[in-house]
Amino acid sequence: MAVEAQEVAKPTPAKGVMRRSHSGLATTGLLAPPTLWLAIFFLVPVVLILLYSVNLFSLYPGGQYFTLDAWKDFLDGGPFLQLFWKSIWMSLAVSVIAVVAAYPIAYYLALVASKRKYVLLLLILAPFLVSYFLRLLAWKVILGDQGVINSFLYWTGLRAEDDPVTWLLYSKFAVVLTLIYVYVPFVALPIFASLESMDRRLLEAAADLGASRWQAFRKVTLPLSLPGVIAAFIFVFIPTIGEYFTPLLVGGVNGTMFGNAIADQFGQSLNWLNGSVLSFFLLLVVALLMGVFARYLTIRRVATG
Amino acid sequence: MSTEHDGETTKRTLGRGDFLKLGALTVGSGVLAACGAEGAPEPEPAAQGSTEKAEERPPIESEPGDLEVFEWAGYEFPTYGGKGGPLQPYVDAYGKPKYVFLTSDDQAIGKVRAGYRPDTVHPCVDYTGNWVEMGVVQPWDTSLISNFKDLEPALVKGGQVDGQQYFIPADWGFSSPLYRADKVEPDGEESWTLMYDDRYKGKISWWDSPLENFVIWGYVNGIDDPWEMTDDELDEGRDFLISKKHLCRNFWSSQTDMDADFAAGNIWIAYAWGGSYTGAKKAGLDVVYSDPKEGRLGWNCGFVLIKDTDNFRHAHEYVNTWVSAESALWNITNYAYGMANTNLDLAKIDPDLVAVFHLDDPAAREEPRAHYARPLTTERRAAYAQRWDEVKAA
Amino acid sequence: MAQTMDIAVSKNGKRVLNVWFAVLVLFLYAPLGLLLLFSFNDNNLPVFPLKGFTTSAYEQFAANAELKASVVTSAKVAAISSLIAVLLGLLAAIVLVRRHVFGKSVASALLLSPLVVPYIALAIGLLVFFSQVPEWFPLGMRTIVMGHVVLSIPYTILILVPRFERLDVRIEEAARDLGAGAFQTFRLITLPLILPALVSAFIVAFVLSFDEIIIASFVNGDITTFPIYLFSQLRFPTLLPQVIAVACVVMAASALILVGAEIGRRILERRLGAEL
Repeated sequence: MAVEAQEVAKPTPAKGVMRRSHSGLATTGLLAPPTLWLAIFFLVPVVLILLYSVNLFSLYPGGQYFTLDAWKDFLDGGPFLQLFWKSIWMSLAVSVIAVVAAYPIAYYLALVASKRKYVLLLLILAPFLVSYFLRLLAWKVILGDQGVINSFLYWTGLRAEDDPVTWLLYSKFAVVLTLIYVYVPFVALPIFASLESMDRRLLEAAADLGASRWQAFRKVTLPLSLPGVIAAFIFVFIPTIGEYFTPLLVGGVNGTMFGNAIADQFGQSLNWLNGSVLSFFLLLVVALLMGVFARYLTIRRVATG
Repeated sequence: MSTEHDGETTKRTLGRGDFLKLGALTVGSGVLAACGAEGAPEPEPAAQGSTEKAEERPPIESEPGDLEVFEWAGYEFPTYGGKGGPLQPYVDAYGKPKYVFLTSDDQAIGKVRAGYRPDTVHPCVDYTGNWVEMGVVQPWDTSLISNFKDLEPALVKGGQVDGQQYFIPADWGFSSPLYRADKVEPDGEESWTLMYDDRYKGKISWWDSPLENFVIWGYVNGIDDPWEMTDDELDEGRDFLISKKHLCRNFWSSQTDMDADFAAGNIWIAYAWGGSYTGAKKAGLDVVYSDPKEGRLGWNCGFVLIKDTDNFRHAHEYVNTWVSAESALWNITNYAYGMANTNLDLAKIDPDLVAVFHLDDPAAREEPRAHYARPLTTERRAAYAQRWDEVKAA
Repeated sequence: MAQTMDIAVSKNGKRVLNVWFAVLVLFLYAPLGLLLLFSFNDNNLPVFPLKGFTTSAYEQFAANAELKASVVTSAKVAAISSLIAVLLGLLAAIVLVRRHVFGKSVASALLLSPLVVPYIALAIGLLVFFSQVPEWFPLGMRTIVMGHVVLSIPYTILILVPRFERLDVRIEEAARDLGAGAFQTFRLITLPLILPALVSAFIVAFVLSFDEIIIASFVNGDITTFPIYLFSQLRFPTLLPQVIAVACVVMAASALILVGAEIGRRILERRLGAEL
């Protein structure tokens, strides 16, 4: 007790200095484990792949010499580059819809559901413990030519039995739909986290000042939840560009994405050179995008103080 | 780093087995050594080379015995065969092997290429060339496999690279168009052209494999050797496949998926293996497993032996058990796959299976009525794969 | 009257949100319901029409030691890797939000970049790396954990950072001014405030790892996780019912946890209510 009291009694400036010098060390100590972990188990493998993409490292017997040929072939407007742009568009559609759909859910959980919110949160996350492959298998049963939806259409007489809605499955639509299915709960999380930690008295203050609910939402809640929304967008947009599994299972012949090309190059084509070029291209583009996001984040922080 | 690795690979290409062999063959050893290092074909007969090697091997008791099998899930003891089933004798004698599961042929190659080393792997025959060229496998000593004599000669021959038995055939099956008899009416004689039939747009499924779609096109168009097409032929095939791609609902990637699509009525015509036929029958569908006039394709998978394995004799014992007649009977009955072991009691097998897979008719399992997959060089596979990428991206 | 008015949502708004939430739950659970249905259906394939009731899938699963072991392995890997990922993510989030360090943007780019690397590239890179120094990194459960932690770190950071950004530093400073040490402040003030976010991060990391196949299938050594088993057996549709049965058992288990959590919350609430 006495020691504590003494500490409190210390003059503030000295303490401030002490804390600052202390925190320099502490910061390094805090940041070291995660960055080290990633430096070893992420950067090293990625650098190996980069070396592979310029043929400076190869696991096949044969020549290893620096060449950019694979990069040139790729950037010369081959089929893969087109696929990349297509993937960007599909990911964008998925991300926007998922964020829009998830926002009310996060809002509901954070500000309306009160005591039950964590149980409800678990409720929407629990399906993820079931293998994604099996859930997609079930989706096919819903979307297929004699699936749940088409059977319903037959039953109501909206479609003739020999005329199913075929674009439900094995199409871009199927890919976008199932990706939204996967990501909505994930996307709700960061939004939920930022809404949940919002000081509700701000809303009450807004109400006291005569703001309507809509105004309170637009001027208070939405801006405060923006970091969560951006995190949510990153959450879904970036991984879906490289999505491989969903297009493979429900994309059919036209729903393939960039991730499938990467997997095929490493897989059935056994062309690791191309595979590493494609991977690295994706990594570069997304790093660039993240840079843009990061800048936007700091600007926002400056704007709101 | 790169040069260091290069050296390591060369070392691997010239493994312990080769040195022993070179030592045994005193005449012209220098020339042979040079050839071996280049990976050129070695003219020595397989049987002789391997017998000599076996004599130099330590007896089975002095091996560690912790056999590691890189295997498909479903082929592991006791799921495969059950307790007391065909694999039980090996387990009783040497203990249960350690199973590591592969998820596809490419994944298996990728994993071993990146550094993983089991004792034996269960790939399919057309990849044998890749395995050999990677320098990670050695020929089997067939004299240590007592069931070897019962194996289908065509398949045995298919497992040889440069005259050496790098691959022991185990499971095999046909690949042929499967179609719904109640929905599809073939145009005249049964043919692979059913896969390109405009009348069934959106109800057709090709296999997502870089090889087979070109091979089929090759047989349909009378190409000399569809397994060794020239670049020009492949380009032509690619253009054709691109022009027909819109007829497909999907390119299927796992049998389970395709079977489900068939049963759900999403597809009516598919490139299929035997198990899909029995699966569709069981699901109550009216299906035909066709006998196309161009001949069925045949696939087969089996075992390769990793170079420098410490469990050389254990691996032979295990594979011997795996390719036994009892194992064959179990696999045919339970998975509807054929087996290389021809020493079969057909009376114990479902007559429908016998008929559809021509188990009683050896001629139907040989050229020209059936075309078996065989090892491709890495270079040729890459040529096929590049065209298939283009078809898929088109 | 004014006191009971909820500024966050109107009565009608609440109704709409209730419906929207119900729609989402239906959307999420419809496929699971189908799986449950098919797990008792007497057919290898998940298709209509249903053929007959059977529990054989569950019996086969119960008898399949390899499959059971794979589920346990996956649970272990997921638990360990998500624990580590949350810890590392927490450390990173504290620094990224609270401290001004040189090269912070570089560090944050590194910390988030695993989000974008194609898993297959990372998987091959990792295996090549591990194979160069096998005495340091023998393949097995540990190497899978190493890979899965890499995948999970960005997710944990993305969940924790917004939480920290909204956390009032003055509360912690007040605690420090009142004489609490750094660790004490963290344990007594910060931790309870961020606990929900930590739990969210843990759950996300857990499900990510539990279902991950590509990294696992490359660096697993002789370990079999459930997804590896699942994908390997796709050659044999006869094994599919067992795998679906596994999914249903996992579903049932998580439902139990869910119910348990709700009961726990109510008991806690009652006790706290009594104390007050």
